[in-house]
Amino acid sequence: MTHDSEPTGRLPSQARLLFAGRSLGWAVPLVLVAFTGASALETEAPGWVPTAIRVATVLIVLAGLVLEPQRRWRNWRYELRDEEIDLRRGVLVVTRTLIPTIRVQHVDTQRTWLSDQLGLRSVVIHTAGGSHRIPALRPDEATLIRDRIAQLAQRPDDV
Amino acid sequence: MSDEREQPAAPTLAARRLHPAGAVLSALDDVRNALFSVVVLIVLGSQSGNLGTILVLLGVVGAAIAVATGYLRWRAETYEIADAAIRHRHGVISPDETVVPLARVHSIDVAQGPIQRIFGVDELHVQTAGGGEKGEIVLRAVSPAETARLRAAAGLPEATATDLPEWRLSPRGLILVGLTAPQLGMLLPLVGGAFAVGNDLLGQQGARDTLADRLPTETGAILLLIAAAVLAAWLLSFLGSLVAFAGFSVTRDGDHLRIHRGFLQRRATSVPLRRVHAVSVAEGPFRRPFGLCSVRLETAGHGSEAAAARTLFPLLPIAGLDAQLASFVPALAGTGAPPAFTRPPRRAIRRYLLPGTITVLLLAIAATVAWAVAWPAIPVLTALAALDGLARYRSAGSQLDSSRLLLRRGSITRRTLIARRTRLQDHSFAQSTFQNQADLADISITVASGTSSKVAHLEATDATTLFERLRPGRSSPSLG
Repeated sequence: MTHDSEPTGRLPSQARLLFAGRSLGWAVPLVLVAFTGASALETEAPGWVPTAIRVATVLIVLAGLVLEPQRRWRNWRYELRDEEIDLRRGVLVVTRTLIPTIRVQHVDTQRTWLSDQLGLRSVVIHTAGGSHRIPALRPDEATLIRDRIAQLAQRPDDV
Repeated sequence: MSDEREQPAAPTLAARRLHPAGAVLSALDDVRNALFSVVVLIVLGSQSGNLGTILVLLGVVGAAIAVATGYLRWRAETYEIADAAIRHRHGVISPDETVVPLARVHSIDVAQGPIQRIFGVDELHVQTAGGGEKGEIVLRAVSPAETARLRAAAGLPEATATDLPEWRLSPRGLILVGLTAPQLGMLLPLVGGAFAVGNDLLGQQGARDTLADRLPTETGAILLLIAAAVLAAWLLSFLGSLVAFAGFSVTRDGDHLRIHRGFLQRRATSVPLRRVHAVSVAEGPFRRPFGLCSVRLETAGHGSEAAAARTLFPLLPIAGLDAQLASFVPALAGTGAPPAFTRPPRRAIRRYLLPGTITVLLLAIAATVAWAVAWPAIPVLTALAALDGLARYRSAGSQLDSSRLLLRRGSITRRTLIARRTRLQDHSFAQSTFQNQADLADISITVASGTSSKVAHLEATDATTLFERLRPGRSSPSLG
């Protein structure tokens, strides 16, 4: 893309582990179903079918646990300016979103069991139209950003 | 009672009860709630004989209980304005109190059901930003004089001017709304479901005598059934529109819109103009050929309400849209000139066409493999998918004015979101790897009602220009 002022802030590298951890949510059931299915087909289908299913599953899971988190982390950028919050993210489709700070209703920091293990927090920015998430930040940085957005958002809004 | 009138500066209103019609409404609620158990009792009682006696006894006792509890509840329910808040107390055994600060009150809306109309009273809904269509406080029976007094005390007086801009839905317009209602498409699956149920019922009678088994041999019967289904759906939708939009009118009183509508249940809603960040213009399949559209308000806090509750104009010639907006929502009015949309380039057509068409084609092929009779689905559904893609390409466009942003999209129904440029909640520029290579990109926005709109596959330079022009302004980076 050719924007003159792309956001510059990057997520800490542990974010990759967080994204990979989320992929486990679908990867584990997929492996269970695919491998059980492959074993069941062993006697009924030509010999190459179960093997193909297993190989395809392993490739998909590897993509979900390694490539996707890596690419998501590499593409994630954020930046806070006085008048706008600038977010850029995505794996196959890269989306850049601008949120005027005057439209921010409130800001949360959130943690999950997994994010705690990795020493990460997410910051959720709520507007009247919906919410946006910076998924992985170091706790001190998350607090700083939350407070900074809250401070910027104090100007009155007309909702 | 006259004290409050003499001190208009201090917003107070002594605690008072609802109009006695409230007791009737409350008693009727009890009767309705008890109806089921009464019916069960009668059925059980009739099996042991003496039906007449039981019926009369139950009726008398039930009515007496209903009247008594209705009266008690009416006695226990009061409202007042004190300490800059509306206070509502109700409940006989465990009284509740709801307090809404006057500063949080957006409007006091009026609705009238059949019972309220018999007694000539209003049902008041005290609306805040948080509540749904029902108010935070609902007062079910208030006389018009009391309504005026409450509104005055709350600092929300009723309109007094007489020559306000007003738009009314004529009886002819109402019929047209019903005839061209967009709900038709949504009702068809319902009717289909009804047929499935009918099928089950038939299936219970004879082992193989279901509709599905019998019909493929009787083409005429299929067509007849489809015609009947369409007619039933259309009739339902027609009646639904009539009930929702009968007596529809909009007036603009300074910085508020007042919308009245409804047949059995009269509703009056008041919307502060500053909260209208966008309107959504829908040109449905039966309206667009006649140059007609419907217009919906997009306001913060009302996003989850029923479509009818957000309607600004149920039916309008699209040529007159700008003139009407100029009278009712000036911030969103255009100059009246035909819109000049920035459209996706011709090379984007295949991106609108191919994904949907190929998906449908593959599904149709799969269905044919499984069930050979389904072969007509391949040409028919594929052609429909292609037409849908083409229609979406032809609809897509964006236009940025000095104060407004217009995004247009859709296939069967074409929708244009007209938003105040400076009131967007967010805006996005999105590009997939393939779009990047083709120099195309998507633009999407969100308005305060939570409604988003997207225009896909614009020329990347057009999308970038739009994205940059929508930014709130430049300033130096401060953190990140």
